[in-house]
Amino acid sequence: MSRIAFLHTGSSSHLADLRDPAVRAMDVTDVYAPELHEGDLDGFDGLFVAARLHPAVMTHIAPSVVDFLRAPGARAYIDGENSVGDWLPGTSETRRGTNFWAWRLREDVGRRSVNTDHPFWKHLADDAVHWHYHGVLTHPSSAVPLVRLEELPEHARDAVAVDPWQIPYRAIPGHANTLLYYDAGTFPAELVVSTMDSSYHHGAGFMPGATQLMYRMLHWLRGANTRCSTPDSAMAA
Amino acid sequence: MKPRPCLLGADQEAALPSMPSILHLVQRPTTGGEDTPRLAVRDVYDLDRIDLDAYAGLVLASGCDQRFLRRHRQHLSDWVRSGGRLLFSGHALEPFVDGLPKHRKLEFHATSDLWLTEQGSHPIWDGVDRRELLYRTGVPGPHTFEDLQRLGVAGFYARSYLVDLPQDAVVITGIGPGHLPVDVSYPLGAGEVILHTGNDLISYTQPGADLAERALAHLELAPILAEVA
Repeated sequence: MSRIAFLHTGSSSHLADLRDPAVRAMDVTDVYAPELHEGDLDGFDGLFVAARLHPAVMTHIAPSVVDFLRAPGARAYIDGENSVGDWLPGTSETRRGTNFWAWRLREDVGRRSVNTDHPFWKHLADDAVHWHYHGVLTHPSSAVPLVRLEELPEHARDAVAVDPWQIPYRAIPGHANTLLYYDAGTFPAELVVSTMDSSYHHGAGFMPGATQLMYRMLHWLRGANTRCSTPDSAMAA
Repeated sequence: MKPRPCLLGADQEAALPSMPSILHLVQRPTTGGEDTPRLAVRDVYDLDRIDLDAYAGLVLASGCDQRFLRRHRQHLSDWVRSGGRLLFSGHALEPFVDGLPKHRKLEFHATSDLWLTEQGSHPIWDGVDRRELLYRTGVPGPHTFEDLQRLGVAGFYARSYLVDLPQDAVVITGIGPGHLPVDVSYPLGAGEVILHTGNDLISYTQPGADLAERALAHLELAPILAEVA
């Protein structure tokens, strides 16, 4: 059976996630990041890096997370708001504002599901990835973007759209604008990275789409097997 | 116990260098650059190195590591008992201070499930129309309540509630048709624990419902600072 480490820093959302009966039913192990020591992730097949880890703790444990990616057959999901651009090789992150009212005004912010014929989509669904985001990513060439922000013609006609903190939330011209990617080529492990903070919003009890993404990523992690490697990209070939 | 500063008249205060009387613990590294004359912003993990007795009030941000805070329950409880005022926003999942009520999820499907009603009196909330707190929206500009019913998003202020309140607790704001407790205050020794079960209270700064200003003003007047006066 696959063993999943849920790596967290003790915020109420993290603790609520760990107490969720649906999460407990997936045999998730509580791994408290401030006390993570070298080698503590050995023996896990799947790794869920919870959203919004304490930034200094994230920086401190990043080498252990990258080390984990060196195990063939392993799977890792990195949830949003973890400054991946600062520590994940090959990825950069640019902050984007948060439009949390678009669903009420039916505003099209340009978010799109892409590469929908990729086999990883059997692990996802539109309602799991279309709620909000906190940044856009660039990534290694082997990564397949599955959700991205796109520039829309109507965006050129109106003013720059910003969130309450004056941060623009639409696509950046000329940027990859990736919101979630799957990568089976950069590391021996399979990796999914997102700027959506699903484990924060699930634990905070505030966004059904976040729950969809978190559960689906845990389901995917359960398929990890460090003793037998079959990445989704190989299945596509 | 260490000597503490006493309350001074306005003319005396003006002669002293400003020293924040409220400590704001957050779940991230800090440099001191965010400090204001009233507020010292510090990483929660620095709690061991902070002299709590130098502060009248303590604001715990909603994201603070509660597994870490739980290990400081005695320290935090002793400080409140000696006259400090502690404001916690968020979902209390670990008992990090004596008397802390328990958090319960709320099932909600409509704004009426999240409707906020005034229950008891408290200096931070007295006179604040709870309708000003119900909706949050990022659309710039002022909006009438009727507009917000069309474009606002409810639930930021509160979407869960508290149970097992201490006997002498005051329920300040209730949620939903059952008016379940979301804002609660209870005395602990000479001090007070104030709980807001939702997004950080000091992020509410809008005119008419400036809970940040009201909260800081209340925390500054904690009896801990008057002890040697």
